Amino acid sequence: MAFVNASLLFGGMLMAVPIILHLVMRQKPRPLLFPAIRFIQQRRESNRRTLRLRHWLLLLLRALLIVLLAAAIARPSVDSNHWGNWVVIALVSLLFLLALAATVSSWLNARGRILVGLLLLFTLLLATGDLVLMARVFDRDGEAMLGDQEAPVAAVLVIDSSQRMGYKHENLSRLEKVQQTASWLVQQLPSDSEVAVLGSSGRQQVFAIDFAAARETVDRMQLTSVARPLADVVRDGIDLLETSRLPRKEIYIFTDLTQGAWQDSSRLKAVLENHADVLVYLVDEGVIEPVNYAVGQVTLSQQTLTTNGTFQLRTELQHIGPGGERGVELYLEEPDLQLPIFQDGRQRVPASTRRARQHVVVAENGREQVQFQLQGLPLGIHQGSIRLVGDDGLEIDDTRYFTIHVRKPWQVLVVAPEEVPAKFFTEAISPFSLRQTGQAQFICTVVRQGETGSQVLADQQLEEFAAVCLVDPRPLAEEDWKRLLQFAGQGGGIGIMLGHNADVAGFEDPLAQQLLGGRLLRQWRPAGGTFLDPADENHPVMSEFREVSSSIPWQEFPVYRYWQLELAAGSQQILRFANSDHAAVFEQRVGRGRTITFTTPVSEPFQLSDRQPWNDLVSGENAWPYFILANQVARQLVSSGESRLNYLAGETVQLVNDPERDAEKYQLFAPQGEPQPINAVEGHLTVRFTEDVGAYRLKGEREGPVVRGFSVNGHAHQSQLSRISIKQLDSLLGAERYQLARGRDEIQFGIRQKRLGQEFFPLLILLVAIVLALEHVLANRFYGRSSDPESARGMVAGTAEAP
Amino acid sequence: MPAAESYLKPEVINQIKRLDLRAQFIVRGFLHGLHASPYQGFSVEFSEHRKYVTGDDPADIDWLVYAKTDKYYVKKFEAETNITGYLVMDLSHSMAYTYRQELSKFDYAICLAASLAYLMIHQQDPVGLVTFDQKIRSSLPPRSKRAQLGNLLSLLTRLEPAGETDVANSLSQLAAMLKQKSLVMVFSDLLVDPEPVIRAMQQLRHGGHDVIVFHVLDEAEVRFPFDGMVKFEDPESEDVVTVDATSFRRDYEEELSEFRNQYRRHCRDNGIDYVEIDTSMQFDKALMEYLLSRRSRF
Repeated sequence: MAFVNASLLFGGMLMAVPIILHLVMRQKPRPLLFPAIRFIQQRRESNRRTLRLRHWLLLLLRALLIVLLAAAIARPSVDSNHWGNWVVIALVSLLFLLALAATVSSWLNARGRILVGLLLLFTLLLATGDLVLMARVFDRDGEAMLGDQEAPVAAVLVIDSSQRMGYKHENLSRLEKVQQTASWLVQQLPSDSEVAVLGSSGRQQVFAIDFAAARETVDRMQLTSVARPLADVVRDGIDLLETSRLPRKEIYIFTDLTQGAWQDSSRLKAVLENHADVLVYLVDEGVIEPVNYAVGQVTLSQQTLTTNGTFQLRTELQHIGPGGERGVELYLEEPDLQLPIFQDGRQRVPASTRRARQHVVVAENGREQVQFQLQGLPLGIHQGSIRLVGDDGLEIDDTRYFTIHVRKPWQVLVVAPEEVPAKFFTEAISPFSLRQTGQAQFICTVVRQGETGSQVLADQQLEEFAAVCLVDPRPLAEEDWKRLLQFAGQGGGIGIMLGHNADVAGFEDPLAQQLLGGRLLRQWRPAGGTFLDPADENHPVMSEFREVSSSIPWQEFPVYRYWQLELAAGSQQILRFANSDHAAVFEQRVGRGRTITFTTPVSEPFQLSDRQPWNDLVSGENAWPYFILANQVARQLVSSGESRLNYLAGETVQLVNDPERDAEKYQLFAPQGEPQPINAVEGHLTVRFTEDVGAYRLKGEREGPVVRGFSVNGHAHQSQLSRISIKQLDSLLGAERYQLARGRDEIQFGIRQKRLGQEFFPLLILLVAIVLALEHVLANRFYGRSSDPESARGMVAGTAEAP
Repeated sequence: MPAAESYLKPEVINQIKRLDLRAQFIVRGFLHGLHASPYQGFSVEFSEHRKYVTGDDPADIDWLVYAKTDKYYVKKFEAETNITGYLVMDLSHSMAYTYRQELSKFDYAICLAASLAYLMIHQQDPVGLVTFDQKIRSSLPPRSKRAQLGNLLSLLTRLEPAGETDVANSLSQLAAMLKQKSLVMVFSDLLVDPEPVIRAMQQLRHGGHDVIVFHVLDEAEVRFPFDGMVKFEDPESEDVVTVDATSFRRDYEEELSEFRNQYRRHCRDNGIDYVEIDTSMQFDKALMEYLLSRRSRF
């Protein structure tokens, strides 16, 4: 509880005046001769008792009147969160007064003792209840500063400037609306206030020099694709407020109150609880019933594909609103090595052509899958986009960008001893039918390994290959291990599928262990056989299995024997054997490349003359899991030299830049602005500023122009326009911890309520009026003349005329 | 208001010092206000002629006399029986009281008594005077001669209220004294215990007397116009009571009206006329009461 004029409370001491008057200034009786004294004597006693009670009652009312008046002009106010409690207290107090009056009145009129007793008991109960309530409220009263509305404040304006705020309604984007309101609000702040403006990009975190500077910051605010979560910005704002020496701290959060804005805000409640002195205003500039169509995140079946390869694009049409239909189109740029160029202050980029179009019907607040397929793209980098046909409120999510790389098939060197049928593996990754049509992703070259220790790689140019696969190898010569290590270190992929040709001693070589990522311990023959079991579902190798992970019949392809390895630190299990922690397939990074080791062979035929096969992976009926696994492993092996091409806004882009193959210097064409020079450092191109969404292009020179590129898309939550409910807000921020306002009137009202708290003035004045009226009525009743002298005279005159 | 009627007001009559004139003025004022002469119809037997005065019915003018003398005379009728009236004055000290009126209760009662005497002498009714305090102090036997009026008025003028009073005893004494059936007109404030007084009045009634009680109170005793803390002192008994007058007013009024009601009830039951008067009232109320009472006797 706070008082605007606390000193006026001392006026309450004036209640001593009627008491003193009552006690000290007793009236001296006036002596008077009066013959009719006999009429007085008889009633004197009862009159005196009544009189005393009336005097005390009136005294009480008058003292109360003064106290109430003093309290009223001191203008008490309470935190509006506790207003309800105070109203209850006021009501109980009023009841108490009424009960008190009833008690006194029944006593005066000499009603039954039981009635008076009951009334007295009730009055006492009410008084006790009132005191208890007051004690509880005082105990819980927050630390929020209340009082003068015009005292300077430290204010932080947090403006959500994420792309979602670009939603247009009534020809104004949310951000423009917020800017208007925020600019107005800055003007409303009391003079000498400190004000800071924080946007979602969250760069500036100091108080502005003056109001003009703050307003300029507001006016200059722009939508950003790399929006920090609103909760983080609010936390920054509160931290900033704590640096201010002004006692009164306020934070204004300008938001559209959408689900997207308030996700990841679970920790905000605790922060607000710890800073109870900060008043929180939530300014709602959102649209109550937004309507929006959005193209969801684009999923590419693969971002690098080989000549004649087929790739699929999956996305979804997301909709908020009453339902409807929209066209979704796929655009692809025509490759042009001369472009982009920067000309006349403008970027010229290759023309896009529409390659596909789909018509999608979505239900109310629904989403529909959209799938496109592309084939036969020429070699090189291809940039494209998926666009929504037509306009809607939010523009940013109407287009999604993607980049794919089409290259020649990867060369894979397969090394296998003479008697090992390597074709199971080569056919799996490069089937005959695809080779015939030129669609194969891999081109395999098989070399045969001689006796243990003999060199096999001596006359191979390993640089020509993307990966080397050792299928059931015998121990290699030391020279070969060295070359393989070197190959992996430069970014090559090495697959080692151990089988019956391996032996513990032969792989004891430290170089071999380094490459393997572990040490061979023993051959393991589980009773009744075992089967493969995924150890890391999220590993890229497992990506194709993910959608059907529960229905892969691994147990139909039993493994009877495998090598148990002691894994080196850094090795990552991809698959293991069921009911054990023995690794079946694991990956290890070596230099810039990687090795993937199988502990059971992938080339075991159905029947062997001299021994039992180690597993039925290949030879089992309908062995599609093996087929996919082999392809995935091969792709993982060759992917070391590949770069990720599709990013989200704000992510740091890193592209592999092979000094042997690629240009050293590039010009970076971001979707907006002038081109920037960029150089490769240690085999990588790094782009840190990816705030704009769209296609980024890198143009370099190496034996003619080289064009590379990547795409940046906005985050999914930027399309989450559905409104957050008050209940959710309460749970995020704490019920009654914030003041929600929509429109300027509500903001002003909210500020007044928060700064001043809820005023008691009207209520107290009402009480004063009631007490005054009560006092008046009682005084009149006690001292009023019962008969009017005039009327008595009139009666006499009437009698005189009668005859 | 015509000048004559203004004499019915106590504050006007106070300006006239001579009691005979006071009585004359009051009666004139009273008669002036009446449309018909009060004397008309009381007697049936012609007694003498009288000069016509304003207020007399012109029908009573004796035109034969007019023809002889050229003056207006009205025929006067003699009452068959004359009423013997007794004016009974209370001499108690409390009668001397007034709070803010021109006339004290005693003065008012004297004026009233004088006026009645005047009226009655003019009627040729014999009228006497009895005064009492603890007992009967003095008495003037009733006569109907003109000289009686002078005697009566001079006696009234000399009366002084003093000391305590015993109304009941005095009235009993009077009842024993009166031989002839009379009209007893009591002027008193009756500020004593009512029961003995009522018994004494009943005694008078049993003696065949007509009784009119003029209960004269001071205006302040009726209205209780006091405010604030007041120490009330009884002039007779010197009892003292301190009360807050403002808040006590209602209690006082209730107590007074109960007191008056008691008298009114008993008087009605016993065929006594009970007239409540306070000193702010015009005299005509009392006079009218007398006339009505007189008329009822015939």
